[in-house]
Amino acid sequence: MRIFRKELRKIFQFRVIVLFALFAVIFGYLFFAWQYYPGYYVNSAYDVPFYEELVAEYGATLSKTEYQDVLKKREELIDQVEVYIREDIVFQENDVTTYAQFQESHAKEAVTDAEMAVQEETNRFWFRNEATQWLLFRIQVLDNMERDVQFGRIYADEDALRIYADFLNSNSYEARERLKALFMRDEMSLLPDAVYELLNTDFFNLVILVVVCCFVLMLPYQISDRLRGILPIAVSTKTGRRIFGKQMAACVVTGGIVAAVLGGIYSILLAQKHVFVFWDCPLSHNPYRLWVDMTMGEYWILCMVLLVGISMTGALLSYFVGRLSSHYITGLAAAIPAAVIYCAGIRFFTKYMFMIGDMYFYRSYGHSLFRTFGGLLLLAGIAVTMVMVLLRRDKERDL
Amino acid sequence: MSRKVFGYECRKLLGAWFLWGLLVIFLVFDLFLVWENVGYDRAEYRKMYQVIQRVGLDLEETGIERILDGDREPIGNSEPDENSLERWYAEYVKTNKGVYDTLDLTGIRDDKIGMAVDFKPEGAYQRWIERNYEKLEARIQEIKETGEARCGFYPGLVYEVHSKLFGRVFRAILLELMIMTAFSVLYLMDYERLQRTESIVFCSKTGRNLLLGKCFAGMVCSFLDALILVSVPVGMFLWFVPMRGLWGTMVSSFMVMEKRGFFVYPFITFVPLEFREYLGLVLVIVGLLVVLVSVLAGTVQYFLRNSYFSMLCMSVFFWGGLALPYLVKNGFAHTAALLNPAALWYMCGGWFVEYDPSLSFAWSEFWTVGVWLTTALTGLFLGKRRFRREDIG
Amino acid sequence: MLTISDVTKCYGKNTAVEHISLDLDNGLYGLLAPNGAGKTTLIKMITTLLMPTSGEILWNGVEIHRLGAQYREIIGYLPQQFGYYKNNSPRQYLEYLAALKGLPTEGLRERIEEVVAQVGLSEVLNTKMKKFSGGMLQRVGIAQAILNDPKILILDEPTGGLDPKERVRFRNIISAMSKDRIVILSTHIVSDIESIANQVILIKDRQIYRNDTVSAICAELNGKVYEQSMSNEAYEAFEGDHFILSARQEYDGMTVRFFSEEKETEGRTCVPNLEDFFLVTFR
Repeated sequence: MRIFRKELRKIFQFRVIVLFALFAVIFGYLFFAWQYYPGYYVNSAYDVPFYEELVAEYGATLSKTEYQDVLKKREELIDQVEVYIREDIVFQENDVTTYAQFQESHAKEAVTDAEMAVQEETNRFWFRNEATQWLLFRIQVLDNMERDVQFGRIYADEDALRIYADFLNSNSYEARERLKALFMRDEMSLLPDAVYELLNTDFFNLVILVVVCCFVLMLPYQISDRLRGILPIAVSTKTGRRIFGKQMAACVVTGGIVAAVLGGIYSILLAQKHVFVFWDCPLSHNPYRLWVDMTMGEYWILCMVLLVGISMTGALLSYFVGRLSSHYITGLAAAIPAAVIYCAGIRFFTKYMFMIGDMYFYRSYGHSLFRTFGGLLLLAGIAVTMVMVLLRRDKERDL
Repeated sequence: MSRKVFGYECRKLLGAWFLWGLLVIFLVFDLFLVWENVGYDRAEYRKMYQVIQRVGLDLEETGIERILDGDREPIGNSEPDENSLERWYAEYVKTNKGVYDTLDLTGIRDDKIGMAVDFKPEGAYQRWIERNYEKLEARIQEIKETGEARCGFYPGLVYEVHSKLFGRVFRAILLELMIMTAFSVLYLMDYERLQRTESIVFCSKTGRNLLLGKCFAGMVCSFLDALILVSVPVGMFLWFVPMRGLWGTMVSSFMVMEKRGFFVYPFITFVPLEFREYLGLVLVIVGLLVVLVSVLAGTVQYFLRNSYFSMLCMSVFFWGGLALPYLVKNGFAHTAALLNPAALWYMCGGWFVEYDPSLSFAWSEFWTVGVWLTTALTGLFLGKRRFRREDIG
Repeated sequence: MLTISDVTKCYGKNTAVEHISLDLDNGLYGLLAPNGAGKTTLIKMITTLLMPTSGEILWNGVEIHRLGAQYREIIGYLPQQFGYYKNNSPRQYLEYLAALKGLPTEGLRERIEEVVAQVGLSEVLNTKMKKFSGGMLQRVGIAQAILNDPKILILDEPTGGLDPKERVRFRNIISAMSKDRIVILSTHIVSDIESIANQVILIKDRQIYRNDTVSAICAELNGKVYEQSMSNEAYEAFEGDHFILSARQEYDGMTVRFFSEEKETEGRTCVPNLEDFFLVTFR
């Protein structure tokens, strides 16, 4: 245990940590979607607060009864918008008095000067007037909910499923049954799209960060021991060649610590932006359909667990690269392709994590539940095998 | 440092297998990038090349009209789709030839400023931007009057030759080259410390000047990397996208025009530039960036004396350069923040043309390299002077 | 002449050497001191690797850092921890160092073969050094130090790893070379210095303690070094009362060499050697 602790201390060098922290801040600033949340999409700056209100009032899901209640809110919001519409001079001059007329004018192709003027005004209502923006985007949320209901993507019965007969029949039996179960559920999730996009995007950004951190920490640890001629001394002690196994274990634990720290910091940042308000909201909703039922909170916990596993595998990989490198620059040169290939592999297996397919484009990816786990286990297996071969070689080779 | 020692130092680098391995990996990636962008559709590019040659580079109006009226000899034994491709080309010319007449660059400038988050130029800075765009408007007039806009080329909105070559391929090459350069210089400069031969080599006649010589040797070998990394992928690109006879096309031609973000308008060069001249300038900037990165790496290594930390510092510096313009969002400081090597790399594909309202002046690329090179050389000089008095071993 | 004039070297609050003054002309100087006394610090200052905190080092009246390359051209240095390129052969390694030392290409090949023959490595001139034993590497180190026929040759622990035959060969080379150049030999193997050094420089408490010939230094202990035979049991008591220089186990007891300021009646006096002086001085 003492040796293990000392090895850990060798890994966590202050200067390296400071430099990495600086890099992480810059990387986060450039690439993390968190900083744009909830304005991830144009509308989500308004959607998300509205969803937060709905969650506060109704909980994580809407039953059919509660949904009817919510639809009344739509009427109220429309009434409020129509007050603004009727007060607007441009709309008055062009006989636009109702929300329906407003929407029609906004959507159609403006040809005449009058139509262009009206459309310009509708754009102003949508994008440059805070009061009307607030109302219109909320109505849009409710419109989208209603569209899902009308199209039989939620609260559906057997009749409504006929719309998707061809699509359902073109999928595997498991996918078909799962999709039917999702369409026919009687609870609508109140999770906004922006949250799912945020978690997905930033999960991969976190993966990149932990992999980079592992390489940055592990490379000098391995290479400097070799350069300083410590190995012959260490190996000729009572611990002997078991030191290599202990060093490997220290690297793996470091990977876990790195993931825990970075994941923890990011989770704090998520909490700061009230993302965890949606903790209990089911994740399977339009258009993201997953093989398993899980809430946003469970999904995030699963992501964190996967992050730890990915980080540990990354640590093994960086241990392997570091052990074979005789010079810092050699190590960095080998680390670049190794890290890129590893991250590309992670991306390949986690991009549509647990997703069945995409309803909007009627594509079915058929990503089995085990694709993600299987893929990550495969990568971990490769890393473990490489390291085991190395350790075995070290047991016998001349030093 | 004598030529012989320089030769030995270069040989150390040329014998470094890992650098060759990395070069091969980068080369493979670049070739894949070229294939993905133009290789897969090489047949289309070659057909279009035939069409451009037949129609002619001058894009005469009568000639275009004749094609559109069908009043033109069918193309020999060519397949029917080549005739339709020529017709399509003529329609493209006709649709887009008036783009300069309706171009409102000031409006585009205002839209770009409106869309940028937290970017609100005011006062002297706003006036400076406006003056720059007045010069650009005058340049547009010049383009219209001299007829440089009317040059045949691969239709940019579809074939995107300019952005594929300069915005994607060259951008990847440049990043790889900067990594290779930093690695080469740092590897060499830390070599003696890691081999524990410092005590012997630095008390020789060559002495501490050796370290500067290593920096220089690293730079020279990086030019060899540059030669390989540029010539092979670009050569492959040009093989897939024939350019013979098209090198004289002006970059500001409406045919080169591409969709950039939300905007569709031609590349407005600050000075008249043919495609070959543009490529030449890009290569000059690439070369200068190799020098800059070498000198920067040498400077950092002189002070830190540890190649690993030097590389980490340079990485942080690079990423910081990318992030800085987002932190300094307004005023001349924002423009100054954009004048860094990382931002210059990021804007590869938008060099020497109107691109960002904050950088809407000619030769900003040379200003960037010049200022940073001067700073780095100063740092290198100070580092060398410091090293002269430093204890070794 | 190499003049070290009141040189002091400090690392923060720690002083490595202080007020060192020496005038070195052609000859072989042995630098003797216990570990941490400042030998390597002094040597590194002479080889321009370290900067004196105060004082100066002059070569023919000119400060060595001012001379720069001109000075470094005439020094040859073998450090205590000698680094090498393991994938090079001695020829490649020496060619590289010859370039650094500014040696012309003409005659270089012959010169390399000459120095390699001098250190007895001709047979492995083109073999990669990663296959060499420690002694062979040390000989390569000596070869590079003498490659440029230096006027000042500084050797820090040069005979570590050499077998007796090689050590004798080395002593002969160095001794011959010292006729017309300054050779500074820093070592713990006192016998190396004793047999060939013209002058011994002892450093104690960071300062020069003695700078004299071997015989003059050893003469200070005349009549104070004794040798006596005794039983093992008697030795145990004897050890507590006397300063033992060496003890040799014989078949029927111990033969003990010891130092005593007072006249001893039982032991027989011996001719003191440099090792005796070292042990007495640095006890």
